[in-house]
Amino acid sequence: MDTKWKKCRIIVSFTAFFLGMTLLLVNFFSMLRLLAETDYQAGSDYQRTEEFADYMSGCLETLISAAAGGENWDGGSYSSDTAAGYVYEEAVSSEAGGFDFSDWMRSTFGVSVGSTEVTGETTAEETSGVQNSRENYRDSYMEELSEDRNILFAVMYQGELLYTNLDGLTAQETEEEGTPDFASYLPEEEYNFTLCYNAAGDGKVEIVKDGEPVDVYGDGIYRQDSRWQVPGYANFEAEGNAREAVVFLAAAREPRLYMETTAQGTIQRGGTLYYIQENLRNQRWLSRVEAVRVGAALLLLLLAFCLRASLREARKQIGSWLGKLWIEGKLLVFWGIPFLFLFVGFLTGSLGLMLSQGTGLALLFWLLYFGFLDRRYNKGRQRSLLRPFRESLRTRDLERPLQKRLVRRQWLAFAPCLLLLAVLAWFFLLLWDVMYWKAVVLLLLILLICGVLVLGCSLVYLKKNRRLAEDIGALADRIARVRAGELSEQLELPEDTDLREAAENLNEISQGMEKALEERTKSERMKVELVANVSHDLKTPLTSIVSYIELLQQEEELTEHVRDYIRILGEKSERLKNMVQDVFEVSKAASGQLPVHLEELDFGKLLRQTLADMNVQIEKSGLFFRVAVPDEPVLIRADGQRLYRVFQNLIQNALQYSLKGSRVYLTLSEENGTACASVKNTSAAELDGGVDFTERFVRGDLSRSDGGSGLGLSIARSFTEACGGKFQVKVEADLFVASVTFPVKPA
Amino acid sequence: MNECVLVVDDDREIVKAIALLLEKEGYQVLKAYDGLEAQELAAEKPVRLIIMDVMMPRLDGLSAVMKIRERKNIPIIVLSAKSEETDKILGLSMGADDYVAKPFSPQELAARVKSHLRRYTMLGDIHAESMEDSIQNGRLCYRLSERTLYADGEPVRLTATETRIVELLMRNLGRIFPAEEIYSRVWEEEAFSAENTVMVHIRRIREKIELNPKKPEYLKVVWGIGYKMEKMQDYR
Repeated sequence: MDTKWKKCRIIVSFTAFFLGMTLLLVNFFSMLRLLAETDYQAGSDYQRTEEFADYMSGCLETLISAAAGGENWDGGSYSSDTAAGYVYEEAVSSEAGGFDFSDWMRSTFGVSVGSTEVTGETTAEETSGVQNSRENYRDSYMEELSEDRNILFAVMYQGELLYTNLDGLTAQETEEEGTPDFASYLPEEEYNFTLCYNAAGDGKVEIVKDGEPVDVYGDGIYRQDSRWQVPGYANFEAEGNAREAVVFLAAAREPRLYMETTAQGTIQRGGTLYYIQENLRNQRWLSRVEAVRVGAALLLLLLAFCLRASLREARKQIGSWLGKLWIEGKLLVFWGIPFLFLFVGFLTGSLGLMLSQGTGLALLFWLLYFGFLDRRYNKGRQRSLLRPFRESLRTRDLERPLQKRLVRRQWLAFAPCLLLLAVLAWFFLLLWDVMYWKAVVLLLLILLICGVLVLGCSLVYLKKNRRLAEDIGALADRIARVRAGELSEQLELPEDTDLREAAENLNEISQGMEKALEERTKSERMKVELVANVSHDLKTPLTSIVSYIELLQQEEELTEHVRDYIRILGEKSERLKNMVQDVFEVSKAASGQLPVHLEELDFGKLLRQTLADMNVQIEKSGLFFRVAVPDEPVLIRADGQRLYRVFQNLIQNALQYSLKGSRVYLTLSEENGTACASVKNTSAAELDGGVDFTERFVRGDLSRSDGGSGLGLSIARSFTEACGGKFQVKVEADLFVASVTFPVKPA
Repeated sequence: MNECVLVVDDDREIVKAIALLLEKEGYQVLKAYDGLEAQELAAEKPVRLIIMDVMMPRLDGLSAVMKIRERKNIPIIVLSAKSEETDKILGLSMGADDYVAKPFSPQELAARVKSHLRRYTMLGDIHAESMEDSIQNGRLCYRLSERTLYADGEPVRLTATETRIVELLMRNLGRIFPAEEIYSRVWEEEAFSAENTVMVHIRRIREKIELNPKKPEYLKVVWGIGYKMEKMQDYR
């Protein structure tokens, strides 16, 4: 239950985080844009929007110029507010002798405005033709404008009413009185906005909204952000003919669409105000929706924040899921796509647009988020498609000698330079006749020179390092050879190389080792020679002793006790003889000069033969031998004669030191490719567990009163080791265990 | 009889002891204490066998053996304190007939002297025999028709089983026989505790044919493999 709840929490926390973040990101920029665009001053009244002010100003401009008979109908853009505005301004400013607008336009945009030049150069006939078409345009424009009942107007010039769509106001009525009260012709409820230009002949505009006059000019200076772009400012005045015109405009409270069906089809008349109103309403609704979305996103994020422990758990789990994916795929998706996105955005210059689209931003965010998550939780233990390939490469690399490996690694640094140069050369060829070549050639030449320099430096570096790599390799090889025992060689490196000193040190070390080894060999040889000489010197008097004892034994007239003395002498001289022989052999074995003749033999058979060979002694000993030697051959490689001596010694040892009437166990077992023969006997004397019985001249009983030389086990160990086997002695209480182990050769 | 034996050693006591032993056996003994002396004596006297120590002043034993060997074809037994295989082979290849390591058993030495003298004197007879009928190996000779083994020309008393073992081994000089094979071929039965049985017989045969049964020269155990009759090499 608890785990289920926990799991639930994890899922909820991450879902909340995911949805909240996505919602926030998707709506973030659109919300910002709406916030920036929404005209808060306007409220729900479209007449307070800037669009409305612009439109009305535009209308005014057009109508003034229409009334004043300006040449602004030339542009053929009478329906465009802006173009009309420009022309109007040009007309105004050129008359004022101030800023030459058309010149500015020409130089800036290359647009030909040129109304004055055209008239100046054209003939009189052409001028009259232009005049005609201009009047046609004007008339059709006025006709269209008058169809749009959302905006009512009246235009007067020099006290004469020229155009109007006000009901009840005709040209005749106004003739005698000058400027009439246009407002009185309006249906009050429908038209709550009036704009009147030059009603008082001062070239200023009066605006009345809902019966209240509106402040048009502020401090009387026209600026970029002035709401009303109408004449009457101190720096923006109507001059000349324009001063003769009087224009009245009224706008509907609730603009509607006016449709008209003609022979050409249905035509929509002047919906501008209607759409301004519609836009305003849409915008208000949209910003409300956005606010709700952002609020929801913030709520979800708050929830996720409250469950942040579970969220951490969720991140860990997602990390572990991501760990199961191949790193190549993740790199492509989490880093490749964002990179491509940003790169393409940057190239096409639409990066800002793409990001501000919200969806793109959210996508980018999540890809990078998962990418970072993956890096955080799976660093260093990524699954990779290419890993087997990489590993095989690495193994192959390791198989090469050290110097080759080092040189190959340097290609890693060198190859990119080469590639870069190749790409530059390719660009050079590609752009040779396409681009503005002088600059490109210069640039590429510089790049090429840089590339060649880099390449040259790399080559020098490569060459030097190759030399170093070779030296390192030689040094490593030499170390390996020293390890293998080749000490007399010398490693000569040239004077100027980095590793000269290291090589010299190594040479000295190997020389020192060689010297030490020589001395050791010499001393070993001397030791063996000494033992050989000593044993020779011992053997010569021993020969006399043995011979004369034998002669004594052959004497017939001897008393019984003298015979007994002679018997003792005989026994002891025999023992002395054996000891001298043993000492000689053990010293030879210890110095590693014991010749061994290795051959394949049956371990079991050897043990049976040894037992058979010593059968007489065994039967005399009063001990019981328990032999467990398998009948099937256990093949090992050893020197039979030496191994026989080993077991002869071991059995003799057992016969000599075992407790009377006890059992001796001789077993041979084969296990895991090794054959182990062991002799176990119970000692008659108490054994000291801390004594190494295989040491020379060590014996179980310290009195040394028995017949052994103390060399039996030492010889057994030396001979076993000389044959390549392992000899072990274990003592547990009075149980003495000697074991001989050899690797088994497959039958 | 009274064959003349020359004993050479720089150790006078050893020479004396050997001389005493051999005189007891009924030999006439000449004594020398260095190589040169030995060389002179060997040239002057009718020496039938020489016992020569290796390490001696003035002229060492092996050089003396080489010198004497140039003129005389008599058996020479070399004595040495060195018991290594290489020393033995060196001595034999220099022209010695036998090699005895110090400290030796006087009885063994006496037995060897006897053996060599017998073979030396019987040499003519042996060669006169038909070789097809007998197998010659060092001091041993097995006559197939008689089913008898001769050591130094004297018949060896062997039991029937021992004779069959000897015949098997003499017919296959140098070949190694596992105990089981010897058992099945001699007893013509399934092998049972072959190792012990064969070993007992081998030991008994050794007692009869070897000069030193503890250090057998002919009937050898190849440890871990089997038994064989060593094929003796004639160094002469």
